[in-house]
Amino acid sequence: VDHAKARELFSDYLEGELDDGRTSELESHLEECEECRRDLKLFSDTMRAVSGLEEVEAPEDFATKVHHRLRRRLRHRRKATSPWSHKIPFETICLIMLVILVAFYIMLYLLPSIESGGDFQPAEEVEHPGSREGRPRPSGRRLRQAVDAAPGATLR
Amino acid sequence: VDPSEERKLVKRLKQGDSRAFDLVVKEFQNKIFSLIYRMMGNAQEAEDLAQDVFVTLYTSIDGFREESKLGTWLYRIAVNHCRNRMKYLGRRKESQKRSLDQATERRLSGEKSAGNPRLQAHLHRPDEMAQGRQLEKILQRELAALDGDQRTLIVLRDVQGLTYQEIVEVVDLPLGTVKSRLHRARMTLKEKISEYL
Repeated sequence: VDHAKARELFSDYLEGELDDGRTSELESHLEECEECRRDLKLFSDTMRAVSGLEEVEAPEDFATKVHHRLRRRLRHRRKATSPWSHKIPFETICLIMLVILVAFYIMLYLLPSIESGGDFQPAEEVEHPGSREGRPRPSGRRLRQAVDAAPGATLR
Repeated sequence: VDPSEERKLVKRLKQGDSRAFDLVVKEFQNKIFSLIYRMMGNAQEAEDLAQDVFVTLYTSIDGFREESKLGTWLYRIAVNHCRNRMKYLGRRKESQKRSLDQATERRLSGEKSAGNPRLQAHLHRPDEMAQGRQLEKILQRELAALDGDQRTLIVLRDVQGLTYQEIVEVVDLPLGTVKSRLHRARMTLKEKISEYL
């Protein structure tokens, strides 16, 4: 066993994990080599010093703080997994608002003018299978004229 | 903890029993805090990380397959938290730490050259020195200067006193690798503190 090999065995030797053959090889080297003996002593002192480091106690309110942190984390997690927690992008909101506005515009201004403006006339008298007796429904103007002609009648 | 008792405890934890969680915190808080303190060298950091370890235990207990002891699993969580924190701090505070180390070095070498009688007395009596605050500070500083893996192994084996089998389960490395890295870590530490022994 040379110096380098001897030093590789220090940990196993001090922890009693070296087999008998190796132990005697190392010990016979140590008997002859003062440098390795000194090194082993330093190695052993180092291990003893580290093992001598005492356990450091946690602060007294540690458990309470753990509970607070856990509660915060669980609350945050519940919030994150809630379907209402997802943010809707601004662009999407704008688009939805625009669609609603256009729909309102169509309903309030365009549909009544189509219904009552008279501009719309069927191009031909086409037979509509869904209409009563296969005839087209009267337009808005015709309906109004018919109602006005009937005495005492009102259009609701 | 008795293995059958531990199985019951884990079952209760998996059911979300807060009393079982309290028991685990009480049982392991000092061990986990101490491990992290020795790894990070800072009490504030240790408290913060140790709290996170127990929160992780509660939120990830369903993933615990009971192939190791609960304590070993907790150590594993703690070591992973420390590694992540070290990486983060390493990136963020590398230059800051270097200057702090240099300042500490200067202060310590100044004390030594000035012939601080207390320290000088300890220098010739390693057994007393091992119990002294001064050596503890030096050790803590030199532990912190070790490479993360080396520090983990020394703390687990020499400070916390885990068996090799437990260390293998915590760090997820083969036994041979654990032993050789641990030996190198001890050698490195010996080189660093030999002048104080």
